Amino acid sequence: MQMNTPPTLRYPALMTRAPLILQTPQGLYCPEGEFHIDPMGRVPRALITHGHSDHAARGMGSYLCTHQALPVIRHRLGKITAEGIAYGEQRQIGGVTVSFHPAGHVPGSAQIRIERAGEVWVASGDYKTAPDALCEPFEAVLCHTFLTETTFGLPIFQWQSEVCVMGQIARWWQDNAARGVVSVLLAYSFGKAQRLMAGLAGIGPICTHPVVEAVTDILRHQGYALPSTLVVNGAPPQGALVIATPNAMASDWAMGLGPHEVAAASGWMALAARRKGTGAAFVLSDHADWAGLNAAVAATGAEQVYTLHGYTDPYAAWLRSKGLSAEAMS
Amino acid sequence: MIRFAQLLAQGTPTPDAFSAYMTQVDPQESEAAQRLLSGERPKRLANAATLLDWVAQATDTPAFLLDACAKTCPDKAELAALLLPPATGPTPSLAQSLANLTSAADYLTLARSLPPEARILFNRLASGTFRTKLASPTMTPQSPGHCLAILTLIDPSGPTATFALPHGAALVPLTRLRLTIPETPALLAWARANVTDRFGPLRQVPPTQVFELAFDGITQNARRKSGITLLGARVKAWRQDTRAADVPPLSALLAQSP
Repeated sequence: MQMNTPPTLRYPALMTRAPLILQTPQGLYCPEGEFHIDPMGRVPRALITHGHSDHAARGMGSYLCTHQALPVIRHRLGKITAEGIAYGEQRQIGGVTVSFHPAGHVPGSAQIRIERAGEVWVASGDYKTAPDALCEPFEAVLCHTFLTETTFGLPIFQWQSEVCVMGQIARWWQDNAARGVVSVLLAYSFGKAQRLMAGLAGIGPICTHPVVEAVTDILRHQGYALPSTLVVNGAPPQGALVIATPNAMASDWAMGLGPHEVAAASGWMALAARRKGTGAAFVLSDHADWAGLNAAVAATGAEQVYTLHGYTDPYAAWLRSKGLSAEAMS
Repeated sequence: MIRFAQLLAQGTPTPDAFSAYMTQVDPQESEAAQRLLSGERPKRLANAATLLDWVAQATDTPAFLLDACAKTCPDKAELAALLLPPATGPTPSLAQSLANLTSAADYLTLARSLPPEARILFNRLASGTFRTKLASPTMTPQSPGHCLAILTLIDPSGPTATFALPHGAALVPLTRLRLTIPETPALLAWARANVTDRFGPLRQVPPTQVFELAFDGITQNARRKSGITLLGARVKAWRQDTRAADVPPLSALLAQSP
C-alpha cells in the first residue's frame, strides 16, 4: 500500500494566502471568482462538473460546464441560462483563471482548475482514473491544493479491470439467453447505462427503458460511440439485455418483461450486504477505487488535500499518515 | 472453488442447483463439496480475527484504517477478503485450496489467487465458520412434497409472487417465490389488468389463481404467520383447472409438517 512519489511542483507554495475554495451551505464557493462549484442551493453563478443530480441542480442564475456535459444537463434541468467550455480552455472569472479537465467519471465530466497568481486549486468533482469504452479519460492536473472525492475511500474497494467485469456480465447475459430468459441490468440512467452498452456492444440485442433511452439518444447525437438500442414497452426480443433504472423495476413497465433475471452493476456491489436481494451483482463503478484515489492524489503533486463525499475522515487520516496535509472539508 | 462459491452465493442451494454443480466439476471437487455440505468440516487454521491480522500485515494496513473498514464491513471473513488486491494467476480448485492449507503463508498465497466471493467462502472454511449443510447432499433429487396455493401478491421485479393458503375465513401468506414457469408473461399480463391495491412495488391481485408448489421439506417457524417454512419451494404449475375454493386449507399442510 505505497503511494507513488509525487511529481515535482511547477508552482511555488503559497499556502499563507486566503483559501481559493470554501465550503458554504450552498456548496463549494470561490470568493475571488464569485462562483460556486456544483451548488445545491440557489446561487447566481454555478460551475458544474457533470450532469448527475447531486452535482447539477435547478435554480442557478447561470451555468458553466463542458460542451460535452451541457446537452444532458439541459435535458435534465429544462430552461436554464448555460454556457459550454472546451476541456483545457482558460477563462478569467473575477480574480481567478478557470479551466475544466477530464475526470473520467461520465461523458463530459470535469475537474475544475482554479488559478490565482501562480497558486492552483483543483476541485475533482467525481472521477475515475481507469479508462472505459465511453468517456473522456481522466487527466491528472498539477496543483497545490486538491479537493478529492472519497466515495470509495477505503482499501476494501479495489476494482477489477473493466474488461474483466464486462466479461462477467457478458457470460451472465449469454447464460440467460441460452435459457430463453431476458437479462435486466439495473444502472443509473446517465453514465453507467451508456458505459454498459458501450462495453457490451456486439453480443446481442440491447434494449432500454424509455428514461435510459432519452439520455442515450442525446449522447449518441453528440457523437459518443454507442450501439443501436431498442426502447422496450412490453416483451423484449428473445435473449435481449435490457438496461433500466432501479425505479423502473418497481413500475408497471417491469410487468411486461416476462421471465427475466435482474442484476445490478455498481461499486457498492463489492459489499455482501449490498448484494442481498439482487439476483446477480457486478462490481462496476464510475468512481476511483482505493488505488485510483491514491494514484490521483500523488499525480497532482498537491501538498494540501481536502476530502469530500463518502469516507472523508479515514481517507484524510490516511493521507496525513503519508505526510500530506489533509482534512475533511465540511 | 469459484463454482462452489457461485453455488452458495444465493444461500443454501436447491437440489437442482446442487445436481447441476456436481455434473460440472471434476471428481475431486465434487467429493470435497459433498463432504463439506454433509457437515464434515476441515480443521480450523485460525479464527477470522487472526486471518484478518495476517491480511492487514501483508497489505500494510494501519490500525485506524482497519477500524474504519470494519465499520463499513463488520464481517471479518469478508473484510479480510476485500483488503487483498484483485486476484491474479490461476484459481485453485476447492480440493486444492483445502489440501494445501497449513500455515499463514499458505493462506495468503491461496487467498490472493481467489476472486472476492470465493475468498469470503475460503475464509469461512479456514476459520471454521462455514455453516451451510444440505439435508441430503447426493446426486436438495429427493421426492418433493406438493401443495396447492393461491396467488395474492406480485412483485414485478424478479418477478416474484406471494402465495397464501385458506385458514378459517382468511388467507395466510405461505411463501414468496420467483416465477419461472413458461406462462409467466401471460400471468403478468393478467395481473397487470387485475391489480386491486399497491404496497410499494407489490401488486395485490384477486385471490382467484391457483398454483401447484413443490418443496423438499417443511420446518416449524414461529416467525411466519403460517407457522411453517417450506424448504426448497418452487412454483411447478399454474392450475387454471382448479378454483381457489377447492384449495386445501393451511391445516392440511400443517398435518404433513414434523
